Amino acid sequence: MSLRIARSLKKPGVVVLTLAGSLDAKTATDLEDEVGKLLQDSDIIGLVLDLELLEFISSAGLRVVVMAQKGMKAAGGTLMMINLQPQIRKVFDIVKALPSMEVFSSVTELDNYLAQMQRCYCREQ
Amino acid sequence: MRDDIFNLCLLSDCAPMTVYCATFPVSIAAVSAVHDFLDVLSQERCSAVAVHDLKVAVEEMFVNIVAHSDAGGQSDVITVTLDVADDAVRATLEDSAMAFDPLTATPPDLDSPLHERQTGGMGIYLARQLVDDMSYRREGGRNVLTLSIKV
Repeated sequence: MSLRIARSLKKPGVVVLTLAGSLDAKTATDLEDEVGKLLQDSDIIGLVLDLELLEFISSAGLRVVVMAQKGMKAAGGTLMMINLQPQIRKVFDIVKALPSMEVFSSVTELDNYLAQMQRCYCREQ
Repeated sequence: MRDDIFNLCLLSDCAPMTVYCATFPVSIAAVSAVHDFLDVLSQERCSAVAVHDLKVAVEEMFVNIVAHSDAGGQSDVITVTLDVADDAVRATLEDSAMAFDPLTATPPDLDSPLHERQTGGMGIYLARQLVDDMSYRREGGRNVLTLSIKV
C-alpha cells in the first residue's frame, strides 16, 4: 500500500496534511520530505495531520510524526492529529506516544483548540 | 512479474495448516512487497486485527534485519514463511547474515521524551507487544525469528 498526502490550508498559518494508505518504513520518507518543505515556511503555526484514511502505521511512521512535532515546536508552532483509526491509536498507545501529542477526536474539538491557539498567537505578536 | 518478490508459493494446502512462503531482497524498499504478501492472510479466516498487528510486527523485524545486515552483507534475501493454523498464524523470518538475536535488544525507555528514544528498540518493542509469542534461534548459519499471533 502506498502513502498519499494531500495538503490544504485550514486557516492562515494552519496547514492540514491528509494522509491515506500506509505510513511505513518505505513511505515514511515521503511524509518527512513534505513536512520538511512546510517547516521552511516561517508563517506556519499549526500542522494538522488528518489520519482518517490512514490504515497502517509502523514505528518508522511514528518516528516521522514525532520529528514533525519536534520541528513544529522549534518553529514556535504545534502539531495536531485528528481522526486516528483504532489500529493506529493502538500503535501510538503501545509506545506511550499519545500523552505528549495533541490529538483530537472531532473537527469541532480541533477548531476550538485552533481558535484558542490563534488568540494566544495574536497576543504574542 | 514484480521484481521485488522473487518467489511466492503456496506450499501446502493440507488441513489443518496452510503454508505460504516468499523471499525478499534485504532492502527497506521491499517493505511494501512484504505487506502485500501478508495480505494473503485476509483470504484465510484471520481477523483484520490479527492481520494488521502481524503486518506491523513483521515489518518491524524485517526492517531490523535489514539494518543489521548492512554491516554483515552476507545475506541476499530474507525469507518469510506464514504457517496458518486454525487458531494462530506463525510468521518466520530467516536470513543468513551474522548472528543477531533481536530479543536481546535493549528495550526503549517509554518514560523518556519520544524524540530521544532509540529507533530500533522501539520497533522491536512494538512488535513484541503486538504478537503473542516471539522466539529466535540460530540454525545452520541462519537467523530464524518466529512470531506467532492468535487469530
